[in-house]
Amino acid sequence: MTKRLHGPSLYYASDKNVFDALNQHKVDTKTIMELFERRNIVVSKKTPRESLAAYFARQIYDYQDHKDIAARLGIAPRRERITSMDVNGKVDHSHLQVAVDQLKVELESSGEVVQVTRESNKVTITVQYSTMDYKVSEFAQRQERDGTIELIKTADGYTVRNTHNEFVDNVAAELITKLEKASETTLSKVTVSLFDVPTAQLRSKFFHELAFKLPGYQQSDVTAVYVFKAKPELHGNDEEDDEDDDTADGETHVERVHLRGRGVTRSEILNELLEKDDYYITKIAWGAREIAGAGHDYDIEATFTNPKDCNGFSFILSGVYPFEDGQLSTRRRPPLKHEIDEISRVVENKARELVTLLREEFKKANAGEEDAN
Amino acid sequence: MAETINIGEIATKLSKEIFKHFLWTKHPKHDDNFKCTNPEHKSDGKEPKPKESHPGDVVFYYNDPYLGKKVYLHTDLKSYAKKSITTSKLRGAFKSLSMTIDCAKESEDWRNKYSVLADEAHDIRGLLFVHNHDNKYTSSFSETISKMDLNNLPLPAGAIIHFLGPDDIQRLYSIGNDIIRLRDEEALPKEYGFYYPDLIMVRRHGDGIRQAATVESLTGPYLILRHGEAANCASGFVIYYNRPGASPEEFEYFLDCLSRYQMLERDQLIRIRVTNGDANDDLKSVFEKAKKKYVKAWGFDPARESILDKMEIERITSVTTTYNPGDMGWRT
Repeated sequence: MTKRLHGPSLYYASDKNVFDALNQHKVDTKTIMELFERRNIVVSKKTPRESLAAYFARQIYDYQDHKDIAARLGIAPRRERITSMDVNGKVDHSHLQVAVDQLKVELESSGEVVQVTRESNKVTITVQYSTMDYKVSEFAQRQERDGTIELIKTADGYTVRNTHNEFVDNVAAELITKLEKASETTLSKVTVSLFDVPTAQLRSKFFHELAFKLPGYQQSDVTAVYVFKAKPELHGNDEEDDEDDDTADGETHVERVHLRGRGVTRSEILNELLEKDDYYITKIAWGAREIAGAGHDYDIEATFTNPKDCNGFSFILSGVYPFEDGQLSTRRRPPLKHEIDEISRVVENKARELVTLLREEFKKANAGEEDAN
Repeated sequence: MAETINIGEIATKLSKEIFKHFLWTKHPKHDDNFKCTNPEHKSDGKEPKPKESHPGDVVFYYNDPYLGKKVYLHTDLKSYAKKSITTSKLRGAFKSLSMTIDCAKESEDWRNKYSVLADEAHDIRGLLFVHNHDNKYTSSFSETISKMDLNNLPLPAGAIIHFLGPDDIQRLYSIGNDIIRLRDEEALPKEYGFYYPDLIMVRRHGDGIRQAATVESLTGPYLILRHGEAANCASGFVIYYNRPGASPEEFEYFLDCLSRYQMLERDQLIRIRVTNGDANDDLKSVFEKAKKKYVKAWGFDPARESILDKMEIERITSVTTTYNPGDMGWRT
């Protein structure tokens, strides 16, 4: 795991930080009164905000104060994307148990909080960790988060599904290494990637099919599409000349275009980019309406973290419009755990199926071209 | 059985048994009234009449380290049975004290009575002291308070009221006893003070040696006592920790506070005394976990780590009998 260069930044907020935070308009007088109340203090609401902020700032604070102020400043932890990988090979439950236990001991010895839950064909590991962002206000810099890694038994091994970020990705990788050691085998790792399918049309097709042909769901709207075209690599010329040498042919290059709205895939702009200009889709957000069952509408977003090579596939179920009283609600709610599980399952399966399919298609097309030549 | 313990005796007892340990001084005048100068201040009842005076049970004072002035706590001593600790009863008490403070802040009569010098910078605040005399009040006083709307008290701009409920009083009494015990064991010298470091926006006044505890820190998360050497201890800090110790994050935040206050030094003994009755049973292991996380987060070297390792965390011995400074003579 990466070692931090600094400590956890301004973790104990200074009086100046607190003063500044309490003077922000997002923090209402009620919140300030409550902070005082927890210290057995009643202040007059006629006292100017600045005086109250200065008074509170002189006090000693605890973690709860910090969390309350941070919450007021609107820094609620957001849900994160999910990524997954299949690890296939000769591994069984006892190997997994050894690997998970080792991982737990190691993480705990370095002070992380780890919880392991075993169900019949699934092991869930929850790790509490914190993230830093020095670009934001002091109160938002450190955030406590929960990361999950799920291991689901498959016919060939396990599906490893985890929260997609550097910390949890590393923990998952560590777990897989331990699993290999425990089982004394090398496991094949299958990720969703289109690295070896370099054709723009086929890469776009991946997202098209994912959004339009998700089994059990009907596409209700496409609200965002991100397209990408890598900057052409210069041949012959040294790359370092690149910057200075704009006279090369004075050409501009638009690398990525984001389109947001309704029915984005039907738009003329998108189709021109895709058909004429060789751009390909690297991210899509769409509504998927359940055909059977409750009939809810799910907002899903899927993307390749690395658009150039089309790897690092991840997705998120960002919200649900529930079907209630015979109609679709206009109010979006956060998804429930079982909904995330179900959407993850179908998205993963469809994505894997599509990757296999597109690889075949690419091979065929290539072979066809070679034949023609 | 003594029939009449008057307000004066109770105030003296409270001062001796509780507030003296926090280095507060009690003004010798007890149970006196001062003139009301605001015709808007009216009595409750069907026909509200303008008040003639406001009551004053006792006044405590100390020097505030950050304000550089004397803080006078105009204290209202209340003793209620469990069934009387209700939001409406408390509301009445807060309202009355608000009006009292409103007048006191601008009253020459008040300043004369409580010997405030003409050129002395000072701040007058209210302190509502709510004692439960039948010992049956077991709920959290802060919960009762949180059900009240204290936004509309007749409190003028800048005015402040502090309050202490039965559980706070019990806790402060236990801390006082703990200080006595430590001194008796010579694990704390006779002379000590409370610690208020320089902050970024405000610096400490005075030399800090016999600094009194501020009323805010008596009800805040941590109260830090600073002491010199004694027969059985090195110089350092005793920290009364008034939080549940529920998670490593809570303690990590606390450790970072000590670090920011420049308290994590090799030659300083740090003793943490947990005062919260509801504190986590697993306190020590949660604290250990926090230390580990903290050391890791800052990439501490072994020398620095050993400073953290030397910290002691204990619960204070809670005083078994419930504190009761006497039954009679209270205001109700």
